[in-house]
Amino acid sequence: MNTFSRSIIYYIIVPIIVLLILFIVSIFIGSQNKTFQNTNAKDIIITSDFELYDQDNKKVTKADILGSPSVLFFGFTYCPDVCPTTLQSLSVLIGQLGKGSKQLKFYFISVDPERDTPEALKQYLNSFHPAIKALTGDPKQLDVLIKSYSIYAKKVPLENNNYTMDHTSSLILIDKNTNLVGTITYDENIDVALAKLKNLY
Amino acid sequence: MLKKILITLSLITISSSVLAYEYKIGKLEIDHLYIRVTTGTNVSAGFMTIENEGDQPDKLLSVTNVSFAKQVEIHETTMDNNVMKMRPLNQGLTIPAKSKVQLKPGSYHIMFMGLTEPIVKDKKYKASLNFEQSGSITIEFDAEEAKGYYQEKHKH
Ligand SMILES: [Cu+2]
Repeated sequence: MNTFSRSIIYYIIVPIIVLLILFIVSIFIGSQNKTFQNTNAKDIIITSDFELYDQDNKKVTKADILGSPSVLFFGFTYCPDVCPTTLQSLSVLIGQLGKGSKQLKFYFISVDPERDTPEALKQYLNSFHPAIKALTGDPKQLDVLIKSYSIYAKKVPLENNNYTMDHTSSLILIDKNTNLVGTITYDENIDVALAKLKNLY
Repeated sequence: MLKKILITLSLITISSSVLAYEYKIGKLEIDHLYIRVTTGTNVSAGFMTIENEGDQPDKLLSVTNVSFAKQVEIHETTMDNNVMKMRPLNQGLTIPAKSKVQLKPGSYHIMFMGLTEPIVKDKKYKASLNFEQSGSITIEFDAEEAKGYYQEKHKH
């Protein structure tokens, strides 16, 4: 190989290859970031308006959810196991977010309005982080939220006219336009969960 | 110096939690019993660890003599595609030979329904555990507040 062709390799071809690799890598990273931010996001939003009540019996509509990102958890107060554990986990996460948590809203949404009155929810929430609000009300109104995010909620009878609810246990993460942007599972690693929450604001 | 104290303390804690059991019946050792403090609802769950040192399996068939609840069942919570399901174990909970079964959130619990009094912190709650092989034993649950998954996982 003569000096000329060698310098062509060193000064033109090698840099071009390096740039090309960098370009491809950057596209790859970019697309990965995008999919992380838009997990499951195919315009999954709250479809229509609704009228629900919080733990202080104050009316809450879609307009109250819009404007800042929110974390939604669907559950019921008669759940002795996974619901209090998840709400306690969420309380820990909110504590760890510190001031950042003020940019988010947190809702515990009842899938059992028959038993979860605003008064019952108020008492129930006493055990958890004060930033968590509750929503309950007419089943049809709750269905707007349940259906919007494809939440599974089903009444299952137990003995003596008791019943329990099978329900989706993940935290639902939505942006300020109510777009679904991700979920946090019951057993999510705490650092991953924190990163997902921080990614919301 | 502080480090030494800490190491000694943690060794004591570890060894005591390994060696000590609260109740023993037959080949079963029962430990870490607690019931969840209630927050307005009339249901609660009881948790514990049951270790079977024998070489025969045993079975927790029922929980009786509960003065604070109208209905008591042994339940299993499962996660099916992130959907939480809670079901009674009508055949009882098997404790295999030479193994340990943990009743803990997201797994098994004793379900107390129709509570006749709230479960409050620092009170003790009595119940009888009825095993197929080992017979019955009266135990006491400590009342504890709900722990999150993160606290639950690192506890011991
Ligand atoms: Cu149960």
